[in-house]
Amino acid sequence: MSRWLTWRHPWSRVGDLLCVLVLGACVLAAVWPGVFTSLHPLGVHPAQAFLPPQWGHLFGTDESGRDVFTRVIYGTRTSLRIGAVATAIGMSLAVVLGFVSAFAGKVSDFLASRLVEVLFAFPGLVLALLFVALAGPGVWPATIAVGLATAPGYARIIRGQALIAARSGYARQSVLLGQRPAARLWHHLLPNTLWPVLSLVTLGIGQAIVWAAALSYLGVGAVPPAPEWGAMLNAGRTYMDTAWWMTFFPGAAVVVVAAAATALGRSLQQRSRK
Amino acid sequence: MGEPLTTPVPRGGRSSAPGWRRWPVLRRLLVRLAGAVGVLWAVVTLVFFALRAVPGDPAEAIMGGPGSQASQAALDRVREEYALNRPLLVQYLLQLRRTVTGQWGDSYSLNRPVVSLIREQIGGTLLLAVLALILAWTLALLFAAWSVRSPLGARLSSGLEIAASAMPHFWLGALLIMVFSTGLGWLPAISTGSADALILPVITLAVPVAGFLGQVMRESLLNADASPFALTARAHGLSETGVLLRHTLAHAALPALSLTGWAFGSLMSGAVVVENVFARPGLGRLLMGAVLKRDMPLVTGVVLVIAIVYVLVTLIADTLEGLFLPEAAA
Repeated sequence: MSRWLTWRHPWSRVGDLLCVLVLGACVLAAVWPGVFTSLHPLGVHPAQAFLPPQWGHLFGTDESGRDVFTRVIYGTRTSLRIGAVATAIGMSLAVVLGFVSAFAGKVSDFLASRLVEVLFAFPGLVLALLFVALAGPGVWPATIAVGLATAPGYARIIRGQALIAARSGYARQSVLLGQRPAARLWHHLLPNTLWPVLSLVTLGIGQAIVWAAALSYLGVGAVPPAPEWGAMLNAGRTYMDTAWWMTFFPGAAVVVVAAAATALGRSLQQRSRK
Repeated sequence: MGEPLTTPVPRGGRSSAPGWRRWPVLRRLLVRLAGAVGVLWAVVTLVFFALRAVPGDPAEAIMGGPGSQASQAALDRVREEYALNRPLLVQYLLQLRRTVTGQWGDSYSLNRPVVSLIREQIGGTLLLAVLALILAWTLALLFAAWSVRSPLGARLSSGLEIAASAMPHFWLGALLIMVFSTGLGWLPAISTGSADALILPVITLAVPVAGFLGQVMRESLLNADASPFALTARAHGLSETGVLLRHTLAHAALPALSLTGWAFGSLMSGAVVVENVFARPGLGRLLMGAVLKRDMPLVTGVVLVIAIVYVLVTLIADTLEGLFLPEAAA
């Protein structure tokens, strides 16, 4: 673990720290939104509709007088959950596909690689929309859809990593020592394949959050009264001329979280290369 | 917002048939062509079986999902057309025949043949995607060139690229509308059919892809710039711009070229969102309307066309790469 402590350009360390802080605040907001706000995300106050950003309503209020800041904070939970679950689904599928490809013989490699290639022919969001059309709209279908759509990309990388691990010295050594294949897979190949992929998970969660927000924005994910960033943006587009804050802040939340996850993932990737 | 960061993996040539060794480009093209046909067959198969896997009446699944609002007559017509009383294998073979012969059925929500709907809408989307691709390439090259020329440029453009690639279309589009349409009043917010209505959608679509392409191009341009041939060119007295234009730029462009297929796919997916933000007619809006109505003939048709476009663009980019860089194909 000493490589985590080696000296790097100070700017990149400050950047990493910033990303960790942003993501930490998000996790806190997701677990315990009451820390940031005392208002209710669905609390309707018609008299206070369309208030611009001000003290007490940092991000303004929406058409029903609900506090946009409170809704953005509560939206963190939905967005992070979708991001994490979708990435977990995508990763699990990719690990199965990648490992079948790498270890189960030439025929399975051929089949699994072609399957991945076919999935690649659907651009991500289009694959997600196809799934939603089949399964119907909603938060869970959208989550699974995003997971499915991210799987082929991970699968390709995991296959590559698994092949590297399979050809490595320690894998051959394990064969020579007569270790059982299952034990070899569990103790050597799996950890050595997944460790480098860890940075991808960070990258992937950011991406999954953006896609989930896009699905909600398009009207097939979370449904409007629920505090979800994409759904809030969708509701805000009607009032874009007059209430810019209803569109600006939920979108900014998506960008900040996605950019922090991407930058951190990129930085982890560079470290694991060294 | 683009495709996952995990996708940009340039592909190399595959299986080698000894007889074709002398014609690497042609061999590559043939292998790719066979692969493309295979991909399209698999797409049709996947969609067919996914549709039949939806629980309940398949006729309802095709027309609006379980609990469909479609009329009894319309459902009967679908049962007839898709031969739903025949064995699954027969249905599947008929589906393949209909797909190949271009009988893609009627959209139940719009009451029109899927093929003619797609024919009407595809032009706008392709125009949007091609313009965005050109802009993304230009932006990415400019940023790459800037990072080679100055360390500050390298740091700034690397940050900008991350921000650009994390930028969701729906937000970027909304911001551009708020600033340039409702704010300054320079450009129309929604599609009016005129050329200036294309500017904001093209920028919105191009920026995230430019972020991804820029990251790849910057890396390869920096590598090329540090290579011996660049040093030789400089030793011969070539100016920095000359080195860039005559030597290193081509090296930076090549990996980005092999990503063009991926980038185009990403643009097609972005087009779904962008067309919705700017209320532009096109394949993306057609698809979105069909998904909301669960109009499966239309969804399948649009998805298939998008897959065909992706496969064709990948094929072209791959062939070009093979022409420019024969050793990658051999």
